[in-house]
Amino acid sequence: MRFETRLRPIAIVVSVLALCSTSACIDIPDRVDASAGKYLEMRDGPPRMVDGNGNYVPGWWSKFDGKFNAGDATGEAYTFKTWLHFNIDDPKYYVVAQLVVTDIAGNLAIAVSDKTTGEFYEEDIVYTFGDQISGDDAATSFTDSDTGSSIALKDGVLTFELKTDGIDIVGRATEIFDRPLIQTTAYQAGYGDLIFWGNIRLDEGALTLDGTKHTLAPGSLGLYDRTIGHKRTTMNWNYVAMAGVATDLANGATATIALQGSVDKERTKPFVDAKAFALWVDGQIFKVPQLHFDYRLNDASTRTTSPWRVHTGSKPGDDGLDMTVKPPKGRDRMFHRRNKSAELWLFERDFNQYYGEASGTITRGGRTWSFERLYVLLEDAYVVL
Amino acid sequence: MRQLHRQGCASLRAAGLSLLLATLVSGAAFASEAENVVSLQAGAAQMRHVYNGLSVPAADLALQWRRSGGDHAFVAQVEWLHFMPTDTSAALVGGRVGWSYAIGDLPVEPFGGIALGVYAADVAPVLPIGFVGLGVRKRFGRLVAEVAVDGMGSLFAIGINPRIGIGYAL
Repeated sequence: MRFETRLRPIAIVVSVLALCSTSACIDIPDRVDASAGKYLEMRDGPPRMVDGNGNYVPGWWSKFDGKFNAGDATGEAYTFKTWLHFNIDDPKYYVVAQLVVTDIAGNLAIAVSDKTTGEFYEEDIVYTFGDQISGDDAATSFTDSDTGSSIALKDGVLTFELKTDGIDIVGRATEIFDRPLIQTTAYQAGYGDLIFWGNIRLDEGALTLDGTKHTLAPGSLGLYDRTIGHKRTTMNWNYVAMAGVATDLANGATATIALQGSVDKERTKPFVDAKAFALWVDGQIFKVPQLHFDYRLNDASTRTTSPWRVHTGSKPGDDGLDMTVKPPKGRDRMFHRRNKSAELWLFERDFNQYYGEASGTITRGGRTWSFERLYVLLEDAYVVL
Repeated sequence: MRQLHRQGCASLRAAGLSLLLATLVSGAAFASEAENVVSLQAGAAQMRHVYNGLSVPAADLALQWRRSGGDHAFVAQVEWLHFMPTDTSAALVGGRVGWSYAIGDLPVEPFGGIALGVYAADVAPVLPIGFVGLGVRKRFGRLVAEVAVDGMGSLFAIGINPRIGIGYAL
């Protein structure tokens, strides 16, 4: 056999190796200019979430009646995620639950913190390469065929029934305030997400922990998060969620307030200053240019922290927020829930939630409202997946 | 939306199936003057996720059996791949089978081949990894020394697996 002919199989192997190595090169910018998104200016929603070039249409929307066409985005299918998530701030328990669909997996997760003891109850079911969890294109209805769980948001009513071995949650809540935060954030070309971050008031609900049923207090405040999009794979953020009643310092009037916000930290890639935060006072949504999270790590290995100051950096009298989050009454540190894990090359995460009590002021239209010891959820997270 | 979900896995499944078929076909490489070589393989590996960029190193230890006839050979090995993501570790235990082709009448034999590995892991009961490799080997009587580099492909990741081996021709 000719030597050249005998070399042919090895040449084929070399070619395959070269092809494989080039496919590993994906260029993601460190930072994306967010100015085109005009994220501080509420505008009418676009006719579709993804434009004809396969890119997400960025902006903060007064409403979104457009087409949920995430399938037209040019981002890798692997990065597509959609979920419906809610929190309920019951006087005794803080409840967080979600149903998530990703390209390769589904997830049902529940985390309940006992506000008296700081004890956490958690369930986290991941269906790798399974289609047990399904959701509609608009992320308003999710079901889990394995556990029979569901979450749905229809006509301003959130209904939920989540069933696991250790925790069951069932109930109904009604959307409150004038509108949710509706925003499409564009990341690199082909990547982005459309979020609906709204607020709810519980109509009725029950929580079952290890076989013991607890009635959730009607009137408890909470939130929901509907998200659809091609997400970034390296994310590093701070997040805050809070709701409660505040008092007008001038006349003693009271109003319901809420805050939801997420800010990219330095390890996020690409970093986008998307202003994904909003405040609600007396039913009205508004944004401010910045949201700052000031805290320090007391111990880098355990990621316990000092008290947090969350503020907008506003001048006195301008619209904004300034609050301090401290450990719950009678505690010397905030309740801390951590999930630090990695699995082969598939994902890595250091996800930290802190629960504490917030006191401070919120200013809107020249009126300053004061609040004391509202239960608050904070996050410091780094996730690669 | 569901269609969009399934696209991500289709190409991997196709690649895995192709490798499996190629491996099965390699059984035809057997010849009457077959040689059996048992070798101990040791090396390292590095897998990089093509979407999220995570790059994870691993140690690799394997016991390999190669049965060759002419230039072609059937290769099978049991293997321990120990990956070391940040702050944790994950062992993959399994094996791979494959076909290799060598230019056997040179002082130092170049060879190349393909293989399909199947491993047990926490994240999935059956984790497939495909390999495409190149190497050289030299004989010292019944002893065979070899150096090889495999390209690896698995769930959303590709990698490299350099290794050395010391074998004995039975």
